[in-house]
Amino acid sequence: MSTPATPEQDAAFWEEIMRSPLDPDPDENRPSYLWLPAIIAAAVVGLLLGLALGGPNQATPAASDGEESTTTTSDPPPPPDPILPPGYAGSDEVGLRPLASYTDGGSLYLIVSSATRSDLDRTEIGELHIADWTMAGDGVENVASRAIQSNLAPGVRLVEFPGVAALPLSDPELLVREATEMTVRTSCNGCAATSVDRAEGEVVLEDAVLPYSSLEPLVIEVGSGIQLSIDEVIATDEWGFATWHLVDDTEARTRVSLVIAFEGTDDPASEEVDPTLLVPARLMGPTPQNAIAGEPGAFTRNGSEQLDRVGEILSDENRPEQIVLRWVVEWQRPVGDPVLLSLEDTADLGSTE
Amino acid sequence: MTRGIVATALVVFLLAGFGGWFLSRSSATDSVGQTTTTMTVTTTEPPVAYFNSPYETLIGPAAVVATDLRLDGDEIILEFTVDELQPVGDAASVTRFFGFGLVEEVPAEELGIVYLDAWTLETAGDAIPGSVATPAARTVRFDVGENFSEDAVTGVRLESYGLLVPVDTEFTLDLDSDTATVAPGINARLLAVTEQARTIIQVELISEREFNYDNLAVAGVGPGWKSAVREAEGRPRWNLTYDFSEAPSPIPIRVYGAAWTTIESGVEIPLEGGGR
Repeated sequence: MSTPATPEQDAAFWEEIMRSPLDPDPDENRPSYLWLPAIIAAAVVGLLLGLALGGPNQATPAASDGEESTTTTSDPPPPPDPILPPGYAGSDEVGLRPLASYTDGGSLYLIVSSATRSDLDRTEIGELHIADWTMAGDGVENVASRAIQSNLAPGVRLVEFPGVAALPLSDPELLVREATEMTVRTSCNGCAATSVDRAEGEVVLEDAVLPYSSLEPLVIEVGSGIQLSIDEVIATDEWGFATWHLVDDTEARTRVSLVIAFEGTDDPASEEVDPTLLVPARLMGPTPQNAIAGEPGAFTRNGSEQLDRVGEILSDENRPEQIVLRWVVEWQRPVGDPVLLSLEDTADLGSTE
Repeated sequence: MTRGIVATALVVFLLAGFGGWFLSRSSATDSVGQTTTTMTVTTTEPPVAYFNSPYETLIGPAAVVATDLRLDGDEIILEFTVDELQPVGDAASVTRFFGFGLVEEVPAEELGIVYLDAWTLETAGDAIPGSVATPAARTVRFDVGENFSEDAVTGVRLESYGLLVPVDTEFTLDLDSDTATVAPGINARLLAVTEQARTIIQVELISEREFNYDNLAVAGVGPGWKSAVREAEGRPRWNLTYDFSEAPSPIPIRVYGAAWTTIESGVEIPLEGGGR
């Protein structure tokens, strides 16, 4: 319940209602501090607005009045120059380095490793294939007979220099020349022979009966100027052996695979076709008795092939109708200018003997 | 009084605004009409390139980083990484036979050709040797004894490393139990010759690294040889069959595959990559 207003309260109420805006402020004589924040706020807002209006974003374009604003920018740092490990040289993408040498059996062997440039994915870069390795120094040059490879050790090669007893004492260096690109064309009917670096064929060994031994060398025109002489072929029911060398005067080096096929053989007791072959023993495996899978072999000017039987055992009921020698030849030739690799820092592992 | 405050605030607002505009213009251009210079900060020196880590050390065809060094009882244990650098884009995978019919195809990039085997832990007054058990291991242990403090380690050195090197060599063995060199650190020995309708010849390989034996094969050279068979017990002995009743003298042997070859390095491996 409200209390009734006193006569003094009523008078004040009506005086306030009836007062004109032009009348003097009744609070004018009372002390007030409201002006201070208002002045400060005005100063701050004015300053900020002035800064905003006069700042760089509002600068008059230089094209219109000759003014330019100062701009400081920072270019991103350039990417690092890609590198090969120290001592490696070769192509633009892959380098080689002779790491160590040793002597064994009258030959000097160089251990050469390869490395991919730092900015490249090594699983997408192929090996730098070399067709010519020449060691120079002491005023003498020696050409390697072969560069041994193994599928077990990708990127590492053992380069053999027959008849070399030690690294050259003065200015030893290794000169390498890249190999022609390996392009495998197994179905190349009508191709020009010079466009391929792989060829294959077969020769029927006339009137051959087992055991067989060739009477004279068999010379094969491989193509591209390469002549392969198969000097000796021996075949029995269970094993075979052959030797070969190149008789041409080209710079080519070859990798030769030989197979002796006993055509017409099959197991008469089996419905499966299982002809008898003598195949390279180096390609057989892995098995519990031979942990090594097939190895590629080196590119050389001469070699031999051990052959072992696969397929059915020959018997009186399973004799060959004819004997065929099948050959596959891959070859490399050196191309381009030689690349120099220093032998100064090559570790000397001494002699194995 | 309110009107006075409003008027004063307005004046202050205008003065402050003008002052702010003047200040900003003065700082934006030293003087109107003067051509200013655009400054471009360019880093001319490219950063030093590396293969996988700025703390790496290049050992043969591999980048090596020490990643952890710690004391564990009487041992200091060093862990490291090895990133091999050889190109494998056109390298063949390798079929591995593990017995019981298990065959695995191993990609070339997983084969591993660098084996960091011999290390030295350096302290102010001592050099403690350590070794790595297998090519695939990435830990080396140093026997430091009791009361050793990790703070006493001043550095680690890789004394030598093994590189898996291709092997394809021919040699002869005399019938009187001869021994011949196959490759650095690997020898072959004639164990037995059994002459019958076919001659069986047993050859043993000898290496300090027994894991070499799984990377090598033995064969006879010339007419009359069938593929050799390694003993089933896992010993490094191969039985060769010669298809004649008498053994050749001397006996021509071929060994091929790949073998770990030791190369001296003597390189300090920085511990800043996580090793310390």
